[in-house]
Amino acid sequence: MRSRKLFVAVALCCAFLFVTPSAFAASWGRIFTVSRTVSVRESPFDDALRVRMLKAGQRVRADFFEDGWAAVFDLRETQRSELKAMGYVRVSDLTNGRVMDIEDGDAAAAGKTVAKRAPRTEEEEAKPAAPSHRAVRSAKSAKQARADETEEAAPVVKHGVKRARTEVADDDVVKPSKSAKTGKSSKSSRKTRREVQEKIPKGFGEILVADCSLSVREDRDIGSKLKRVLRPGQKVRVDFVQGGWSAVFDPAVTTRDESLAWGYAGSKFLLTEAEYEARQSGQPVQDKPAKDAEPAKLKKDAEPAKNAKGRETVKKAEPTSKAAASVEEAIGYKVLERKADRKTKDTVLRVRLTVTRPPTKDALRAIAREIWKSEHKKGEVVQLEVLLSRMDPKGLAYAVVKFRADGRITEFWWRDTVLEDGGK
Amino acid sequence: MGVRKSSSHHPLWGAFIFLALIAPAFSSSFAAAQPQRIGFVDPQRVVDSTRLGRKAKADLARFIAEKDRMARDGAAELAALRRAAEVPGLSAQERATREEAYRRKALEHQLLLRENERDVKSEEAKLLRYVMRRADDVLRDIGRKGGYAVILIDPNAVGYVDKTNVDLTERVARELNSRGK
Repeated sequence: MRSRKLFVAVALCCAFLFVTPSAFAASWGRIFTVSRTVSVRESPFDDALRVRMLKAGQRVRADFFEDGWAAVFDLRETQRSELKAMGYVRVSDLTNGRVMDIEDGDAAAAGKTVAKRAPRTEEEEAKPAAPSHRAVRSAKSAKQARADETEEAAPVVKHGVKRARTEVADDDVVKPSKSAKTGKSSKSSRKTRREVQEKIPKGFGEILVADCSLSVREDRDIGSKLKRVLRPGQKVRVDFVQGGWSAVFDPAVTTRDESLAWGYAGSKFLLTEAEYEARQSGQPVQDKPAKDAEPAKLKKDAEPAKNAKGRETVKKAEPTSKAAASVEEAIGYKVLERKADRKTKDTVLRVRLTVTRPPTKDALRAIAREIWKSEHKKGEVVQLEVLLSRMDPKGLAYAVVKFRADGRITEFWWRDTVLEDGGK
Repeated sequence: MGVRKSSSHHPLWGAFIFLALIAPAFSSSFAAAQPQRIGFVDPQRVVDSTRLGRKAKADLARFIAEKDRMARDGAAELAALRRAAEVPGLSAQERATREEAYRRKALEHQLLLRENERDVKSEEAKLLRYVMRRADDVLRDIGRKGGYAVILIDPNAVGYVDKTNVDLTERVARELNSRGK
């Protein structure tokens, strides 16, 4: 009798162990255990920059199979978006040289059947099967791809475009379309947050959340007088970012006057609401789309805020369509400055993305191209300087992309240095 | 012998008050009399030994590689134009047109190389400035807390440095690394 109970208990434990991972795992891509050290590259080319290494025994999710390459993701990643990929690896490195086949077209990667792709979620089924830029580029060598960049750009960007244009979150009022909570509480908490947000008037800067108990000091100096302490999760209005410090204001303040600030806090401890929630939950959680969605539209000059250098232009769109759900996915931008030289027709365009962490380099190129499309004037040679959210608007840009008048990218580089202090 | 209860009549009370009043003046003059400390920081070592500096170097290397790629592409185009101009059997007019195209491209290429060189220097300066601005914050803190009146950062301006006592480079690097975390 006793041994029978023991057997049942062991069986239950085993069942739990086997069932749990599949029950909680995201239902896309395929999971591989790497059998040796594998290079993860920035783009699906052998000569692309190596962005990280996978160790033997490490498990990753792979998807977007194309021409022998696959995008790899963290196992906890729930969103099937190439923007979320760690990078690209050769499929043969994942399978340790074995050939494999994936049932749909984008898996021409490899040859014969080993396993089938996990079923897609309803949302993914509704989407056009995310061919993304890989489908366009991967068949070509890096050099060819560069040469043909202009022609290929359209489909490349289209994927990112729609997201960039239709799913961008409001820059000032963070819309929590992505909830860290799930189930019943999710809906109510979303409602409560929306109510709270409605009380926050629109104004300058950004509404951000304190990541932890955060000291607000009299000056941009750790030795200066403590003025107050923000509690974790407290919302504040943030502006005047300089040297890793941000001026924090009462969210109700709408006048952009530094003397009205409560004080200064370390910029790296101020997050967007979505980031804060994701950090609280330990992983990004996909949310259901809002029911009261309106048709998507691109708003130009939606919120003109005054800047020392002039008017800031906000390009944003509301997360509205059913597919448009995630603030994390949404990438919007704000034009900070435009300097045009009439004689040479050279224009320096400084923009700030609404993300704090840099996208993958391919995604960044696609985003840059999309911005160029929206902002360039005929015959202009544009140098696009891309900053990330909460970086000093007058400081060094994260990435620089130079375009010819015909839209071809001539130069593209980025600076990891500016991320060292949290991208401030 | 009776002790007086009221301290206001104590004969030494006046002296106590007097000392209390002049003590701050004495202490400040003692502090002023302390020898002012002088520190030295080697910016190159700060760049070499900090995470921020190493990232800046990697960024610069990437920038130079991008410029080199452009130069290589330009050189390849130039070589192609030259080959096209030297093809045998061309008419005099066609050859002249091709040679003109080659000359124009050669000038553009020279210009590009000069621009690249200038851009690399400019980028190097920008990145170094970025790193040193972070280091400046650290220097200011160390200077204030450690009582340093002067911290030198130009090795050429210093004849002799007693590294054991004066060199703050490692301290600055350590502090800078810890702030970046």
